[in-house]
Amino acid sequence: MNIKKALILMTLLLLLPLTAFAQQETIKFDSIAEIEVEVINEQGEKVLVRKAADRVIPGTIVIYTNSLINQGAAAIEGPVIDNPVPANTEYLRGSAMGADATIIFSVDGGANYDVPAKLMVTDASGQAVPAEAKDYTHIRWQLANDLPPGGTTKVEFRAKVK
Amino acid sequence: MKNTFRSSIILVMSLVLTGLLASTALAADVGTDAGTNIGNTAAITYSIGGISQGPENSTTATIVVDNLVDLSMTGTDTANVSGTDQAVLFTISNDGNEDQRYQVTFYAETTSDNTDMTFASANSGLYIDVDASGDLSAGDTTIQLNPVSGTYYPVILDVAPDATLDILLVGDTPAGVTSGQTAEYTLVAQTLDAGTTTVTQEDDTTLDDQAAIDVVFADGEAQTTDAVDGVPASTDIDEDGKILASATYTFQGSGVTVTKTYAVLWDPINGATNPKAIPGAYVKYTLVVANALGSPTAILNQVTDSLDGALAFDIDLIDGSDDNFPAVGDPESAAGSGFKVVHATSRPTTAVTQYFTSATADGVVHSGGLVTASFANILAGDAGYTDGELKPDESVTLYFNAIIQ
Repeated sequence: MNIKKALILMTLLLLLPLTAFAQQETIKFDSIAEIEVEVINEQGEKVLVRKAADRVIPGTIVIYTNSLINQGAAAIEGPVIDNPVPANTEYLRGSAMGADATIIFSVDGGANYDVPAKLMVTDASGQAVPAEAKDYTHIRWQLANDLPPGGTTKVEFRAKVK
Repeated sequence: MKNTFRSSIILVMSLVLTGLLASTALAADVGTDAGTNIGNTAAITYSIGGISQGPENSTTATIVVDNLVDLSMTGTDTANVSGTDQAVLFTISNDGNEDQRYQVTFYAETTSDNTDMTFASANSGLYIDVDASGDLSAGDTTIQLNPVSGTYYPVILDVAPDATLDILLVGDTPAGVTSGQTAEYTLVAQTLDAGTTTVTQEDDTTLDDQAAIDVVFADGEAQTTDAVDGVPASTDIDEDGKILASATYTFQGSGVTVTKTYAVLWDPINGATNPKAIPGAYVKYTLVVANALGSPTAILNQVTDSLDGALAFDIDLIDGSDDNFPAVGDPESAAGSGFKVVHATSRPTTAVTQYFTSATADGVVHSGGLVTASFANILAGDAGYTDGELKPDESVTLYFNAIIQ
């Protein structure tokens, strides 16, 4: 083995761990969009089931679910999830959910967050008025618990297509 | 002597549409355009071993807004005088979220009215009311001349979301119609794909594609709870891309009347006291043109009054007093002003309620035994008025004298 080949081999050995690390993400973080439709179950009862949001028109309520999986070897500490309300939709009041999560909102593009009762916006006359759900620009979930290796959690909200 | 007072009055006028014009107000915003991609991406921050990580984005969930097909329509009731090119107005609103075209047909109601218009004359047809006047005007776009009830005719014009399309059904008053009779019509509009004459079809709900723009019908219907007179059953069912509306045309008689009266003012024997219609006597003629309350607005052109050959026109409009007896009295205004005009209208600025004149420019003239009043001058245009316009419950009165020869 000459010196040149030895250098190439050493370089490959050095790159191998980095490549392997990049292929195994610490988290798996997915967002999906669904709608609810009414179906008749085996008992003849009308029930709501979720399906992919493949038929969406103005007024449709879309359910967005963000799923988090810890694929790493260490706990994910203090996870905080921010979700801008999608363009051309309007947040549906009271729809944000997440286990053991504190849910707060922003009305200024994500610069500041607070609970709904403390959110204010300026109306057309320049007066500060309590914000409504349609004013929300971002949703934040502050998860109370760390996510251990292999742990999963979900947060969700609903928005109406304008 | 009887013939001394004979004259013939001819009134030339036209009447203007009194029907309500189309509302051009836009419908409420119906929402996000079809084909719009809506993506959702969340971000997470966290720590591992006390070291901050992120933010890291989630995958993006993308939905495509489908083509909402929805439409509504209103019909505008119209009351107008009999004649040709009478219009009924319908307004179609695109309540969907994509450009659409429409095809239209009409049905005559069979039991709830008492006459029908005819659609055989040159201008009878379906039109786009381009100038939103509510009646047939130059520049309105022809959809179909002499249309056949029940046959759909495409309207070659894309209508944007939230926009409206005014459709005129133009026909003629049937012979023998009487004032107050009505003709009711229903227009049916069916959705076409934009830029085509292809009837829009709803996509199969079982074959939805999240990345594709599906067609979704959301229009209501008008025939489930209330059958529409004259319209075949199931012409418009729920969520079928069709809509219908009805409108009533009421044939209205003219309210314009012309009344002529006279009174002997003075004669050379009795003066103004119990004067008689004898040679040399002055007779005052009063000619009233009135438009009755509740009638259509009229545009008056001209009235002529041909004096009998035994009458001479009094160029001074003598007042018929005994002031100068045995000579005749004084001019009401001034020598040479042979007419008095009084009108009761609501013209705000240009109209005067009374004037004396013999000038053609003032709209009244006598020549060769013919009295002519031109209403474009007498009732000049003003704010809210065109030349010669006489609205309901308005009148104009013309006074002049004649001398019995």
